[in-house]
Amino acid sequence: MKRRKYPLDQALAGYLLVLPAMVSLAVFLIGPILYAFYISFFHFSFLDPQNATFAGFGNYIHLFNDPVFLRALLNTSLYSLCVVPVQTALSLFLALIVNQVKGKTFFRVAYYLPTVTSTVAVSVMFIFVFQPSGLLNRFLLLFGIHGPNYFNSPSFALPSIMALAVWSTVGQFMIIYLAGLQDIPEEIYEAADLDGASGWARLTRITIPLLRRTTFLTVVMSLIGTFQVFDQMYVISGGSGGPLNSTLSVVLDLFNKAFKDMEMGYASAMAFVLFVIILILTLVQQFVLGREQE
Amino acid sequence: MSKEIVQQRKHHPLLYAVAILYAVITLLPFVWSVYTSLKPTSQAFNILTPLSMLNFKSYVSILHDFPFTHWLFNSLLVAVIVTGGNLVVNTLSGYAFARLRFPGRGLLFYVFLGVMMIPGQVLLVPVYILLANLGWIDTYQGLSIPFLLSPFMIFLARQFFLGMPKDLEEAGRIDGLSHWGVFFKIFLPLSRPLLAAETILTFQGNWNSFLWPVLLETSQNMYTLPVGLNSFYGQYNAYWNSVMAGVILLTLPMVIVFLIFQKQFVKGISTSGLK
Amino acid sequence: MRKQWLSVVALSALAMGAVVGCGTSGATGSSTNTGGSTGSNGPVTLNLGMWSSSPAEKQLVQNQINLFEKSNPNIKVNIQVINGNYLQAIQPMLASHTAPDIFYVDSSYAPQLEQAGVLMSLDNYIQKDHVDLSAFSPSLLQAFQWKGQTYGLPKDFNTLALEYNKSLLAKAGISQPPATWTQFEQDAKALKAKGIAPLSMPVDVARYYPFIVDAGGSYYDSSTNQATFTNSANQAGVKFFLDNLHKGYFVTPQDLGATWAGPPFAQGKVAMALEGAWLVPFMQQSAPKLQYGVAGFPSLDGKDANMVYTVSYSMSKFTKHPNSAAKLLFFMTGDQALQLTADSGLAIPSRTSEQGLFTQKYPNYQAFIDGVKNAVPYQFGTLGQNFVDAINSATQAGQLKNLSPAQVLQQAQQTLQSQQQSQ
Repeated sequence: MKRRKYPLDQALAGYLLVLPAMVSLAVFLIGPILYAFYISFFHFSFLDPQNATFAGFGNYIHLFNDPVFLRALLNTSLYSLCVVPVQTALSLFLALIVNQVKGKTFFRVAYYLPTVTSTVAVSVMFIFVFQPSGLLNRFLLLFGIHGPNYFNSPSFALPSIMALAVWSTVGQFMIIYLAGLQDIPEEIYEAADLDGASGWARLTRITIPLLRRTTFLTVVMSLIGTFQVFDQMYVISGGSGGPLNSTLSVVLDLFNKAFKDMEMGYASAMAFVLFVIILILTLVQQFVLGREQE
Repeated sequence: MSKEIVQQRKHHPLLYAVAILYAVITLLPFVWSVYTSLKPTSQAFNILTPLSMLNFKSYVSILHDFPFTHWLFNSLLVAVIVTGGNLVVNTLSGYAFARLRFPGRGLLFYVFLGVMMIPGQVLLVPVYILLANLGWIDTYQGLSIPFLLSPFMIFLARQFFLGMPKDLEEAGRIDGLSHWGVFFKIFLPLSRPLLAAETILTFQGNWNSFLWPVLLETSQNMYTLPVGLNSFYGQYNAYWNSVMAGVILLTLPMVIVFLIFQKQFVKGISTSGLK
Repeated sequence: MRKQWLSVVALSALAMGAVVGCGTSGATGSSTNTGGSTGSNGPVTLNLGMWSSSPAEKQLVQNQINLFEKSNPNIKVNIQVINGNYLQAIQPMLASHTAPDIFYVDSSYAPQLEQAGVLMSLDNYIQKDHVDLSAFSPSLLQAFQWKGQTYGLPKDFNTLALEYNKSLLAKAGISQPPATWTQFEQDAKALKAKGIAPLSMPVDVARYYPFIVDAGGSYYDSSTNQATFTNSANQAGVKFFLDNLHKGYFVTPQDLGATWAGPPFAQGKVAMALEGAWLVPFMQQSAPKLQYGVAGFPSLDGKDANMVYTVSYSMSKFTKHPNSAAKLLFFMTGDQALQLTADSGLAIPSRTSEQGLFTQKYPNYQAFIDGVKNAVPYQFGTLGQNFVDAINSATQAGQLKNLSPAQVLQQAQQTLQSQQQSQ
């Protein structure tokens, strides 16, 4: 029974090295997830755990009749669908520009600054800039436009948070694009120049297609990220998701159901629905990337 | 280098104009915050405030009334523990998955890959209950120990070690090194780019994290800066000079770190995209 | 490493204990109390949980604690200030047994916590320490009694009054603050004509409910513990409130860049506010020079309803030091501490004996004490926070989406029903 494939000392070293990760995985990931899955079938209030009652699929069914959750799902989807394309297009656009100017370092630093800033600080900053008589409305007034009270208006609050999200993440994705641009071999452009290709053709025929992989990655990364949005909504609405639930995200709804209403079974069911959504997004990513590699 | 030379010929003033315009859009809120923080409250919404009215009073008063320095300490302590822990836990596993052979390695790695897809929010309720039962709510261990594992970092580390030449172990063996020796004497010294990327991504993420801290930090003495700022904003809203001073106090440390290590940041972020 | 193993063990214990029973079996209980054993002799550290409406409030509690510590050298008290959503913060702490030993409980959600069984019944301790409950205003005490037991002692109370900025009113040629809401509408018109925002109040049932009562309505039936939003008598009050918002006579603090009416009032951005006595120390601190007066809550159609808010100190059921905690609780609601409350002007003491002190020191604030005569308590049985959330979001929809009063009330009823279903 000698297993020369796995020398004993090497196997031992291997196990020892992965041990911390395994323990952490079991205690803080797998165990809790199984537990959450279990309680998602109960009416379970942490204040009163003795009186948990079995709910079957009740929590899951109720989710899709719960106007507040459906609103949160709609808000989050809208947020995602608006932020991701704008963010991606803008960061590609800026990357193309920054790649061609002097002082690249300065622009990289400037654009990346919002990303190293805490979302809480960014949110508070935006609350100030978006005040009824704040900087933005003062600026609009120069053009005779009377801006609204953004964060207190059910129609402007969510778009304002979208703007905030784009502003604070564009730098990060721009840097990823810049790295992608470095990977495009210069010879291709030289060949195109010989063929007399215009600048626009170079962009649409070479640059964008060759950045497809980077684009795909950033899109999926930010899709997943935007579906988990919480901080900005919490800070700006003071935890309520208001006005009129217009800034309620799925995670904020989950947070409130779990820790304000103490309905932890219901909140867990919500978490699993979010999980499934993100799983689908990830699987699409894996599938498309996998196919591209073939 | 050659690429930049080739591209020089396409310089166009319009490109500069756009680049500068966006830089203004990015930087203006920061500049505006600093400016507001130096004003008296009544001037907060004025565009032009006489220079003679600007001072550091709001900083002095909030540093006196609120434990910002203590929050800074908490933020630093937690971020350092979490970053250090992540470096050890994830680098070691990534190395083992890449360079050591042991039964079940493939399966284990797939498990880690699998949990990478799980959004952290699924864990909110059960991990909270676990921490409550451990008595770890509102403690440093509660803020750090559950967050030492990052499947993504394991993945990153594995990719990094896979990319290193095959004969490194052989060389070590010839020198009579054990498995540990090979790792510590040969691989680790070559891993600085990996460690730098891991450090930056983890530190930045933890420094700015809010969802877990706002749940787990219940007393003012345990607040990290983002939670502290949120609570401070709740009490001082409408005193925009003080609020903006708070924003700057929260932002400044990370910006300084970023300006010093900006090259490493850029590299780290690029790695996160090229998985 | 050892800690991780500990948690492995703890998790498996948790998993085996399944859903129920978690926490109660625990060798791993709360670790916030650093004091020694349960005995009352050794040095003990207690945590006191509170929110702080302004730095002045924290200072007041700190002064009261200093006094307590002087006479109880064995007990050290830490203040734990919880801001933001207090109920959301305190509930998980109670559930995880990490709540402060004694803490503020607002009357609006007291029944909710009493029903959940997370508050300690104080009856035994009241007997042991011979606390005379008759010294408290009875209606305040009742707010914290549930099924014959007492779960908290009121520390103070507040009512609403009309605060007005003297110079802003003078600018619009108004010499007297309005005594009725009809008068108010005339004054508001004059103020608006001068470009001055007339009155700031949030869209919150806790502020506008007097209008409902004045107009003969009621949102809650205490005999059945049911919400009665759709009672048609409620529409007139809602209409009055919404009309004033639409006319710009009432301006929300959010529209003035704040979350409550205090800051815009202090900054002279609005002529009037409807707040409680908590505005007094806030004004002292942030606008000491501003000349303002306090008048009674104006009346509507000859009715003069008001709201009374009261807050108790209650004890966590999971405190490790119930005896010391009771001592602290009785001190904080006792004569000595309440004298300091009266001095501070923050709120009106819950004990009738100290209420005189408050009026002596603040004769101008008689309005707050008078308000209690026709006041309804801010308490809606065990419906608690859900009730408040449902009606507030519906009223907000009325403001922002121009819903009719009937639609607002209908929506509140529906929201509350759907919330109760999910429980």
